Amino acid sequence: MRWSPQLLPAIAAAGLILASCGGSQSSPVLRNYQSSSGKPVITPDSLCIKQPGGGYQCSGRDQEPCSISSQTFATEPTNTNRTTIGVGEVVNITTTGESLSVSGDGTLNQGSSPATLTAGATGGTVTVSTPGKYQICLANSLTFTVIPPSAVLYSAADGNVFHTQTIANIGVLGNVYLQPDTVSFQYVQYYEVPTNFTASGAWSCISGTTHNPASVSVQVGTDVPGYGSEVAGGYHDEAYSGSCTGNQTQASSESVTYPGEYSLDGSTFYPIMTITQTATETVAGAMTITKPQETGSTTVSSSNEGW
Amino acid sequence: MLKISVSKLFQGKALCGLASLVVACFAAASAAPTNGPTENGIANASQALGRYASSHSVTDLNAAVLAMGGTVDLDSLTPANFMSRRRELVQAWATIIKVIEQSYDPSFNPKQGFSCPIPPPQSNGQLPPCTDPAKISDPTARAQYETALANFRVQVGKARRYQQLVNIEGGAFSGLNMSLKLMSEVAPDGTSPDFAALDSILQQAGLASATRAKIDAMFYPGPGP
Repeated sequence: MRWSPQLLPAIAAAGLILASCGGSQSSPVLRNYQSSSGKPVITPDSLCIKQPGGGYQCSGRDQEPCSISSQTFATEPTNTNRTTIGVGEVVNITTTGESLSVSGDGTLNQGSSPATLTAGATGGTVTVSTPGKYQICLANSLTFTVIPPSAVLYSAADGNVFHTQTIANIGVLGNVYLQPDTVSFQYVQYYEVPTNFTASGAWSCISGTTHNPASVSVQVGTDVPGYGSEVAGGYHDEAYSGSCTGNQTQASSESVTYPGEYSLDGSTFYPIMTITQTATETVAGAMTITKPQETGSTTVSSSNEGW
Repeated sequence: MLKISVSKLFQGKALCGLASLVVACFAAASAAPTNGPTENGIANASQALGRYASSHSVTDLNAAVLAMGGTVDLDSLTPANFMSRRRELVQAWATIIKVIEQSYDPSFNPKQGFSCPIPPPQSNGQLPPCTDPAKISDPTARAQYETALANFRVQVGKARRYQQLVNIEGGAFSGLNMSLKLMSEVAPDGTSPDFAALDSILQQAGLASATRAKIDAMFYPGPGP
């Protein structure tokens, strides 16, 4: 059965009749609306009629903003309704409004619910807006703050030091995190730009060797509270001095400084911070290796240690 | 003036002639064949899954999730078609989530640590990790190291695919959850949670118990059944 224009006054009358029957209080949400041509739109406390010239004639229910809800794909951090998100982070958006649009460095895959907002590669704000729904609800918007990784944290993976007895060598194994931990960076890749070691003393032969930890960018994974988004899938960073022949017990140093970068697509990279890995040895053979928030110590004469 | 919810009248006790007429018209509208955003989105998701079956590309799998965007078509919802629309969406999402579940490589353990290998010791010492193989003079040691490097790169690739699947799965769960929430927001008063039918869809899709329980919880956003 289809509505005819002749029926519209009757429907409007029905609205008045129903509205006077008594019953529930108005609800803050929309219910039961239907906007196909010529069909009535029903809300909890009104009966709306589509007008021949377009739009709807309703009673009330047009003074509240349309809802815009968001939920991050990432479940860590646990607040999935947060509006501060990481670069590349993806968020589902729904609205009771007519449509959705976006401004700023982000993309929407759809103009209707559920839509997916993907934050861009750089920081800033992204605003998702709905123009409202005529006679149903008013325009509304939701603004997200997008932040890039600000630091790289290396944390000892197992607390062990790698060392061979009588040899001047030292290493530590670390987990790698992109900070801060308040958003998720699980959509980015991490890359350490190759640079060369400088070294002296027992490690002289390492000087000029390229530090190229992964040769490739490594996928970042889930956020770990207190640390940041962990470089994914069990990947561990090895900070290892290497070793040379010759006098093993002497004042020595070795250092490499390299940029840590992130990328969304594996082809365009953005800087996070400059990282320095340093190893030192005293004339007595005491060795230390350090990276940001990670350190290990041993002596040349110590027994073999592994990781 | 006292007001009344029309949808409450639909369920209830105060049905009058005009309200029945409205119900009949909604029913007629829902019975008419449509090809709106819901149907198109589900069809596009199905096509993306079809492509994934042969390509095994996470891009196609992600496309299936993205295709479900816009499938909660509020303008086509009526009291008469509400429950069937919700079942259609749950069915489509369950199919996608099942494919994601099956896509994880059972041989990859994300908890198993791996690192770029350290070259074997040479007569003049030992180089740091991930050194250029050309720096290793002994052919046997170099070949051994190149194999270790190749294995490392395989692990990097597996770790990347694993995380991409986690990301896609998170999107599917979130998409389903947000769709159910929005539908709940506009549901006719007194609409049944339809738990048994929705759970049955999950069961028939063959989802893992934990996945099924996770989605079941979405059907009851409140304290539960």
